[in-house]
Amino acid sequence: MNKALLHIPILLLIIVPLLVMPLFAMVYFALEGGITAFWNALTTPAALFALQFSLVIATITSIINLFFGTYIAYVLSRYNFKGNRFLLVLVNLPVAIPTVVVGTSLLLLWGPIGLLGGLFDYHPMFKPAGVLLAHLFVTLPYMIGAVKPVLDESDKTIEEASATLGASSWQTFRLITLPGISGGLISGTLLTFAHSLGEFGATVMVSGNLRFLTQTSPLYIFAQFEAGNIAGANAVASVLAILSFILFLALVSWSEKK
Amino acid sequence: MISLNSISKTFNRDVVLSRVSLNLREGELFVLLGKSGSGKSTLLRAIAGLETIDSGSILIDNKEVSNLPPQKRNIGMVFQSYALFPNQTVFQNVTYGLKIRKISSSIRHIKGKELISAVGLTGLEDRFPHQLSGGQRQRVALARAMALDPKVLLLDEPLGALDPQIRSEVRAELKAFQRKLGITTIMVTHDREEACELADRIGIIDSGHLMEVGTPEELYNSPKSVAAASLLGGGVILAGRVKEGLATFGELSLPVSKDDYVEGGPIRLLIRPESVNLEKRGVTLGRCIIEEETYIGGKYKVTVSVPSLQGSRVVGQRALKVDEFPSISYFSLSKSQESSVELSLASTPILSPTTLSLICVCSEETISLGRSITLQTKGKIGFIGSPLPQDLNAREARISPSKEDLLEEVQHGMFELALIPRSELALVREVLSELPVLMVEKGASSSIKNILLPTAGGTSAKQSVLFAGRIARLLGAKITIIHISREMSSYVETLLESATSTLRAMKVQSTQKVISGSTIQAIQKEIIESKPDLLILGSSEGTDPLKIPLAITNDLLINTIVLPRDLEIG
Repeated sequence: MNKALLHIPILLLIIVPLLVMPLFAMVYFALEGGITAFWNALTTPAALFALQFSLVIATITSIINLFFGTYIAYVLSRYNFKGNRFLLVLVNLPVAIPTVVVGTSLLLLWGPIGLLGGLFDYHPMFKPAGVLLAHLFVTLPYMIGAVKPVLDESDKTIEEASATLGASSWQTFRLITLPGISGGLISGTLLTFAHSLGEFGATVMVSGNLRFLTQTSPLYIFAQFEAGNIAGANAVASVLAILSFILFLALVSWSEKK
Repeated sequence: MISLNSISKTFNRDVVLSRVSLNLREGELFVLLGKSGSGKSTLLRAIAGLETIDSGSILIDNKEVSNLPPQKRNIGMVFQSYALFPNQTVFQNVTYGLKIRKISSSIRHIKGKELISAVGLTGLEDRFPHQLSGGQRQRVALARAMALDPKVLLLDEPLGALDPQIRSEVRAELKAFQRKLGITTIMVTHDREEACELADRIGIIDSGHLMEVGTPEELYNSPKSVAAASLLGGGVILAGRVKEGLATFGELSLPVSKDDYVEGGPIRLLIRPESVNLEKRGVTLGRCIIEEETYIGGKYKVTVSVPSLQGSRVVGQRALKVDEFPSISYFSLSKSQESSVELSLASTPILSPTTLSLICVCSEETISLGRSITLQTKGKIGFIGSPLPQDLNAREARISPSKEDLLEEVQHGMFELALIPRSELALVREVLSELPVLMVEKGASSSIKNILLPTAGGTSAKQSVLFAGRIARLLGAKITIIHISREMSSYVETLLESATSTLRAMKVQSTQKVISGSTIQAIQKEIIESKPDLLILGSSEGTDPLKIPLAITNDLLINTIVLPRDLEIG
């Protein structure tokens, strides 16, 4: 008998209650009142704002961290200097720190009574800029983590070859290095986007959870649940789940193509 | 047109390139041959501008380029991995440099087609590198490197990544291509067959030193350095000594030029299998005992032990017991019927030892100075006496815990200089009959940058200058020659001039002085004023060879090399 057949039932016993059933429950409750009720819950102005706001923040976060992350990964991968390893640990720190703590730390720096926020009349907390700051902080390691290994493994002699053929450092980066790491850049961007869409811990601290101003989709879901509007929470949750699923599929198919 | 002047590079306190100088001829194919880690690739990359150098200069087309980035050096380079751009087609790869130079697309097309056809890849323009065979990739890399009409083509092990079966074919292609374009080319390899087949001239590189330059024939038949001899072919190298102006290996005595070798100094003989013959041509070796005959396809490799060479040691092999003789090999078409043969040597190339071999009588100060000299000269050191140092590296060996064995070791001819603590004067006197001795003083400077060489006249001067020059060249030190005389006579002038020109030929920097006064006081005064790190003196005449050296260095904190008397008298 094929051994795999023995393991499949056990596998299903683990996966079904742990992963599949919760997702099913969500879809069940979302559609309980029928498609019309689902559509109405999804198209309330607050729900639409939260979805749009999440998408906008995720897009801007991805674009900014695409540059930051690639630059940092390039410097850490190409130059060997004292403190290189320390910097690598430092930029990966956000993965290890609980996101709520990230939010707290941002508040203590940029908030109205924070180290820097207290110095100026303007502070970014409880505003969209604050949400963006939190998302940049939390997702930076994912970008670096996706790009740096690709850079580390890429053949450095092709960059040297480019230099001996007259190309400046910038030309070499643009024409040789960048095409070589495009896979890392795409998967890094998709990962950043997905993490930003789902970010909760840091966002809840720095946003103030203000409807029509700083409320992202995960915050909206939480707020509606607390208020007892399960259908409203479920509608947005389902859309978020589907979006994430599509992103995930894109990532998988991309990496399999590579 | 391309010249390298005294290029040096140190990395992590390790000498990677040491005063490499080289002039290339227009259109020649020059091969840098060396073992891995010898510095050959670093040298090539330094010429390309991919590595920085600490000192020296690089001239391409008579233009100083040492401080220019690779982009501005006008070189073409082929890397060992070929380093083709994986996301670009053959055509895009080849015309990349032209695109960077903003050459119009129509000219790029013409030039690209031309280059691709020159390397025989017409029809493959739109292939990507991963769709090509190894040989085809190498040709793309070659065409790409030639696209900008460089002044020099640099090839870093261009055949290393190919299957052995197609290597010889690609080798021939490469040579034809280089001849056709007539471009000055420097190629790096560790493969001697490749070097011999391709090179107009070969440069032997070892431990960052460019040891020797010559045509393949010159370097194979009459190498000067041990590195060239062992890199270019098989055979054994015997260690011997110069005695009474003859190179002596056991019972074998061969003439050497007095201008090149120091009396009493170590000397090496190369015995290639091809030079060993049964026809009594050249130098006879006498009866040799057949030890082993191995069929190697078409012929037999015969190993014989040679009684007439007893007392000489084979470099790189263990010391022989009393009843053992050095072994050599030769080729024979048929299996021998007897147990011994009469052999002769058709040619006897004499080599000069390339690194410094020290023997060190252990004490805290001798070990530390010996290790520092060995590190700087990339030489070898053997320790004798106790306590023997722990944690030896590859350049170091323990010889014996007993100082009694010193004289016997010294007589084998493996060592060139003995390091002995100044307190052990009896040992110094004993060894001085065979070898120069460095008397090591506790607390004296251990980094040798300035050498003081007082000289008298005659042949002895020539011999001491040769010895001092060799030490200085290996250590990268400067020599100050002083002559004690009342006035500058024409005799003194010729003497100093000839010393300076000898040192210049050895690429050693030197200055000279004539001072007056009594010998001992004059030298002492000079030591106190110029503070040299090392003093080189001859033995005194009379019963005690150390009489004058001890009188001079008494109370002065300085390391002193005393030369044996035969070296002094000549």
